Amino acid sequence: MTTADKSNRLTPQTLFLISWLIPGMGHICQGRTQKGLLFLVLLWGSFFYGMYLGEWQVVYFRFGNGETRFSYFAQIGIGAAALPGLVQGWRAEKEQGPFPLFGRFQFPPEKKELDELHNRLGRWLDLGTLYTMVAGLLNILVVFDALWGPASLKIEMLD
Amino acid sequence: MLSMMGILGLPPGTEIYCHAIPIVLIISGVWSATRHDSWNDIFRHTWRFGWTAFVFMGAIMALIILTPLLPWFVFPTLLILYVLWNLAVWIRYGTRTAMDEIESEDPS
Repeated sequence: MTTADKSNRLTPQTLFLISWLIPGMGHICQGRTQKGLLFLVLLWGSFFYGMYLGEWQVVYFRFGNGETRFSYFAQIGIGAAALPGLVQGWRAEKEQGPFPLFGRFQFPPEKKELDELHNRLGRWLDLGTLYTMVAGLLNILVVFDALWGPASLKIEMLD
Repeated sequence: MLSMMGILGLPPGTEIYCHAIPIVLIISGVWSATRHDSWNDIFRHTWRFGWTAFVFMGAIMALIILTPLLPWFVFPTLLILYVLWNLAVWIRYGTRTAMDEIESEDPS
């Protein structure tokens, strides 16, 4: 596995965007394929497993209307996989209904729906939310690694 | 899964605690991979991070389970002792760092 190639053709902004949108893609573009694939599998695996645990209803964006979904601010770290939530949340805020391409995927559930989910799933809903939040937050570290290399590389070089 | 847990004699709710295992592994694996570049270092760091996290989690779970069974002051006392211990470690670290800097400026 090679360290970050500082002379690659991608600008830092492009690298940031690619790394954020798809976990590990920044590393793959840099030639650090094994590491990139590791991050892709672990982070997407964690995120989608969390969504599965919560019956695909744990990732949505709502700010106001009786609920502030703070967990979304962590989930958005995963990138493209959580972006539909932003679109759907905005449409729900405007009372426009789900975006046709996404259907009800990541559309904010109604209060009645949410109550029924909590009653039925109980702790699984929280666990699913936790998995998706962890995946989002870890992707932030992965983006830093893509941009600036491993955090402790300088310390190892001094030893 | 629930039937299997019942057959194995594990108490209800175990499957929830078992889900903590992959999440700890994912956190420690990704954290370690963002701090090292060689697979050897990544595995070593993941192992160290991982088992430390499990021990810590196990201690907290044991405290949560035991707290209703113990006198009321046990949990707050342990918490205060833990905070004081951490403070002592930081004070010692800060003092040592300051002394190292003084000695490096004036070796005599």
